[in-house]
Amino acid sequence: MLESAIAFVVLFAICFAGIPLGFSLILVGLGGFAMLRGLLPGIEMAGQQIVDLSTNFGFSVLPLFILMGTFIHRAQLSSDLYDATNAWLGHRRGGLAMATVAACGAFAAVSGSSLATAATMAKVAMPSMRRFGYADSLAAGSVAAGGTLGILIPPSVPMVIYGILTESDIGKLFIAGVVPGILLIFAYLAAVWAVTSVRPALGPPGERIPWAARWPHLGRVWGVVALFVLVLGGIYFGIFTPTEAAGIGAAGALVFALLRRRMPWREFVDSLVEAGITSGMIFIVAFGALIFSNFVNLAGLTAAMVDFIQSLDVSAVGVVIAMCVIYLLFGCVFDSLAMLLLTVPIFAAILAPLDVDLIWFGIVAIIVVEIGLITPPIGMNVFIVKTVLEDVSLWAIFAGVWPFVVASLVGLALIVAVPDIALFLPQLMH
Amino acid sequence: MPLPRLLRQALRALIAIDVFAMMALIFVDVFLRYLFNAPLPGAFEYIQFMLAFLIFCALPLITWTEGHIVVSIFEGLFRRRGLDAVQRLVVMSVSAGGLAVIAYLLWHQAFSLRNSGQITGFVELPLYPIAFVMSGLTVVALAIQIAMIAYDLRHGLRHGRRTEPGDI
Repeated sequence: MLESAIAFVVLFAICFAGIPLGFSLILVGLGGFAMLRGLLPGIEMAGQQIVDLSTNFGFSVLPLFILMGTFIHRAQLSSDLYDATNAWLGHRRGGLAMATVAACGAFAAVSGSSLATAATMAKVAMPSMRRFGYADSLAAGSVAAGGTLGILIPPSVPMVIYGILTESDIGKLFIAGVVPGILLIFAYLAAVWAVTSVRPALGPPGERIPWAARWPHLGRVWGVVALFVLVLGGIYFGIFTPTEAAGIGAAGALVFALLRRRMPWREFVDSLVEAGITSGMIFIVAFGALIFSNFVNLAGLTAAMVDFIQSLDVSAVGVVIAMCVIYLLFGCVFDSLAMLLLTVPIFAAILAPLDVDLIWFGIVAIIVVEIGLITPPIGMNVFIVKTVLEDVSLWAIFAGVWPFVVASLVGLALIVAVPDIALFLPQLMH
Repeated sequence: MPLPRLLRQALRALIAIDVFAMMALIFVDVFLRYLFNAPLPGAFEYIQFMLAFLIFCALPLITWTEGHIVVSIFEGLFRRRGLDAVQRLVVMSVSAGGLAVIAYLLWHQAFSLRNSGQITGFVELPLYPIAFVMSGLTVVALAIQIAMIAYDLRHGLRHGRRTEPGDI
C-alpha cells in the first residue's frame, strides 16, 4: 500500500512537471516493480508487456480506425452533412443548433475522435448559425458538445483503448455505444429545445426547405450511412472481427474520399503517416499504463481497494458512481486519453471482482470522459472550437455548453440506472 | 533541431507503407475468405509484426516533434518564472532516459525470446528479430533526443517546441 502511495505521488509530480506520460508510467512502474521483486524480474515483466502489446493482432484495430478517421476527415463531408440535417431541422426554433448536433452525431458515426468532429463541424456550422443571428454561446456550445458524440458513437478510439486495457471485446463495446449515442443525440436536441423555449432570441428558426428538396441532401451523404452500416453491421452480425471491420472501414473511407475527388497523393500519404504517428503516441502511453498497473497490482493496491470497498458494504453501482465522480474531478486536469489510460487498468481490476459488467462500465466511463471534454478548466473540445472561432470568448462557449452538460448527466444517470440501455444490443449478438 | 531530410523521409515512407499494407492485407484477406473461401495464410501474423514495426517507426518522429502525450499543468507556472527553457531541457533529458530504458528492455526481451525460441502460431516465424528491430528503432529515437539536447545546449536554450506536429 505504502509503495503504491509513494509511486502515485512520484508519478503525478513528474507528469505534472511535463515529463511525457508514457515515460513517467514506464519509469515509475518499472522502478516500483523492481523494488518489490528485484531488478531482473522487473526488466522481464516490462519488456514482455511492451512486446506482447506491440505484437497483438487485435490491437491493429487502433491504427486502422484512426486511419478511417483521417481519410474521412480529408473527404470533407462535414458541409454536406450539415446541409442535410439543416434541411430537415433548420426551420424549427433553435433548428440550426439542432442540425449541428445531428450532423455531429452523423460525423461521429464514421469518425472516432471528438476533437476532429468538433473542429470540422465548427467550420461549417458556425457561419450559417451566425447568419441567422444565433447567440455565440448557443452556437459554439452546440458544436463543442456535439463534438463529444465522436467518442461515444462508434467507431470510437477511446473505446478501442478501453477494450485493449481491459481485454474486453471491442466489437461488443462498439455495439453497446450505439443506443447510448442515439440517446445522447436526443438529449442534446432536447437541451437546444429547452434553451430556445426559455430564450427564443438565442436561436431563431432558419428557412423552411420544401419536402421535395430535402431528399436530395440525404443522397449526398449516402457514403456515411453505407460506411456505418458496413462497419457496425459487419461487427454486429459477426461477419467481421473489429480489426477486419476497421480495415474494411478504412478502405471504404478511402474509396469514398477518392470518389469525392478529395484525395490527392500528398493528402493520401499524410493521412497514412498521421494515423501511424497518432497510434504510436497512444501505444507508448498504453505500454506505460500496463507496466504501471502491473506494479500497482503487485503492490496490493487493487486488492486492498477491493477489500476496503467490500468492507464498506456499498453496492457495485455505488462504486461505479464514486468512480464517475473521480473521473469528473480528474477531467478538470487530465486530457481524456491520458485519463483513460491511467485509470482504466486499475479501475477494471477493482470492478471485475465486484461482478460489474466491464462493457457497461466502458460506456459509462466514455460518457464521463465526454463531459470532461466540455467542462472548465480543461475542456479540450471547447479549446478546439475556440481556435477555429477566434473572436468568441472561451467563457461564452463554456456558458453555452452547460445545458448540454446537464443533458449528458441525465443521459449518464439513465445508463447507470438502466444498464440494459447499453447492454441489450450486445447481448443479442452471438 | 532540423532532422536530416533522408531520415525523416525514410521514416515517413516506412510508416505510410506499413499502415497501407495493414489495411490492404486485411481487406484482401476478408475479400478472399468470403468470396473464394481462400484466406491468405498467415495474414494474421504478418499484421502482428507490422503493428510492432509501425509503433516503433513512429517513435523517432514523435520524439523529434515533441509530440508525446503530456499532462503538464504546471507549464504556466514555469513560464511565468522564466523557467520553461530549463524545464524543456529537463523533460528532454528524462525522456532520453526513458528511451534508453525502453531500448534496453526490448534488447533484453529479444535475447529472452531467442533463447526460449518462441515462434508465431501458423507461419512459425521467430519473434525475437522484431524485438531487436523495435530496440534498434528506439535507439534511433534516443539518438535524436540526445541530438536535440546537444543542439539546445550549443545554440542556447529556447522554450517551446520547434517543430509543429503538422511538420511531420
